[in-house]
Amino acid sequence: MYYEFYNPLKIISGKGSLYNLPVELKRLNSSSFVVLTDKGIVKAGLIKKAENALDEAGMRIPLIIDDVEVEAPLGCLVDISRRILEIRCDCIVAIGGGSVLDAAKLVCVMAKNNIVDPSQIAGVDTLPKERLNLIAIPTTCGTGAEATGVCVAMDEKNNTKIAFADDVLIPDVAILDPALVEALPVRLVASSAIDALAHAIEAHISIQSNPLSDALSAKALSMIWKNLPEAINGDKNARFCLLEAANIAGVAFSNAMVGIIHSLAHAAGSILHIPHSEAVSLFILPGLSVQLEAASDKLADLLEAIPGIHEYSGDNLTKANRFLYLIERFLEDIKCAAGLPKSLTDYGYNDAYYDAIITKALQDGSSIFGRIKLTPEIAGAMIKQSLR
Amino acid sequence: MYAIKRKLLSVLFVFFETSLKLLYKRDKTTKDILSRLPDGFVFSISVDFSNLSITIQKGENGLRRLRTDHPDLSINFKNIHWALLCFAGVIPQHTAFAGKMVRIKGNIDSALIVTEAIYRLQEIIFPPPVARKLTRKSYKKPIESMEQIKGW
Repeated sequence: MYYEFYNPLKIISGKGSLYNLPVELKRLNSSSFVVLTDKGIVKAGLIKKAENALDEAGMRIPLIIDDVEVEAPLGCLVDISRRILEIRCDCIVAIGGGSVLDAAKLVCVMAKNNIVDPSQIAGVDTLPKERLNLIAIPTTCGTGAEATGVCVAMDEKNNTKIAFADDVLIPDVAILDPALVEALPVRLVASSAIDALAHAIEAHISIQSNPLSDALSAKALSMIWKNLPEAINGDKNARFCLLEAANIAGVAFSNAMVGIIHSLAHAAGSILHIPHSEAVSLFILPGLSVQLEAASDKLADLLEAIPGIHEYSGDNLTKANRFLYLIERFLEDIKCAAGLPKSLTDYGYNDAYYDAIITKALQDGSSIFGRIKLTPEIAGAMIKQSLR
Repeated sequence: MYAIKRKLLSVLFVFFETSLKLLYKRDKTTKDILSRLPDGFVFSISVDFSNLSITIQKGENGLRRLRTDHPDLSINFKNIHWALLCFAGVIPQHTAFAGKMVRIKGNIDSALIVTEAIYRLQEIIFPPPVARKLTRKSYKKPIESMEQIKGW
């Protein structure tokens, strides 16, 4: 076995952790910073919480850029980078969900290196190694983007997502403050946590999984399973546990990567404009079903991570089957409780999209990490199952 | 040891380049795979700390060697050890990609196409047991297993 595991992130977690923002800015020697966010976060009053934290240290936010769009298009990133270059700041404080954090990760590399065409630096492990300092403050309990060295941007001209993977994209600091996820809408709690669940499971069965990522992914799964139902009912502590679980799953998948569930979700998501986490929720079961035999050993492991399950008899395939059965029931209950759509047709899918989704999924970089080769037949079968 | 590895790898590089050019002309599957890349597309495979590299351009009439520092896709092995294992058919391409043994500069979907072409080449030049070991495990009935789950 050969693997690389890298996690240089400082994680500050718990009630009141946002009040550490000033000291972290000082530690990073940041003389000037901008807050990068989106309009929804500003409207929800979450920036005010950061302002309060800075206020106590006699600091103010010099500039708030709230123009990050959902699944940020390249044009939006170029514009933000240009504005950051103009004001010559040395740190970005990103407050938001996956789109904001992904945008911030790329922008801090673009601004530092004056890159005007990010599509030219797409790839794996090829970004310039210098960037602005980055503090990531997640406001959803699912993406784990604050912990990963990957990000995705939308190439609006070609209607496709471009992936970037490099250790330099891992932020310097992640601040996980429960106050930021207390008021999240139920649907967002559920869909983002299901995304985190997919991160944990896919990292665990990835061909690049390793003992460190396995320990993290199993723990994340266990925490999500235990806390998601209560988080949907509004339990604040459960929501915070999901925030932490998403972070743990993020560290796991940043090192082990995700597989064919994400390939299909990226493809269907970009063609039908489905929010990422909801697209993932549609393909978890189909993706696991087709890998049942190939990943039975790792899926059997995950059965033991489910809280309260003590049925460990049988061979790996039996245990893997049992795991999938429990996942199916769990997802059904969560989707019902949160009002999440259950089928791809709920997002406007019809047969005209079938070939396009398959073609895009086969080209997706995540497919290389799955336990089986993603063929058109398998991708097609996954789409059909997601329609049920 | 390094000198032997480097020599061996340089021979494998020449063999790889020649075979791929030939296959593009003679093998329909290889041509179909690489035709998904645009004409004029340039990809290079290189190895850190060895000065070894090959750069190939896909044209209308076939593949040709090219000298450029700016390929559309660059696959760069982090050391000569991984490159040798990969080109000698000891470790599969997808393991090298997934295991971060290579750096990829360019679109990942183009890298997947090039990888697929290399698999096709290995399928032809290596003895079947070796080639089988390199291709990703294809389980007999993934789709049927899905149906089985549906019924519980």
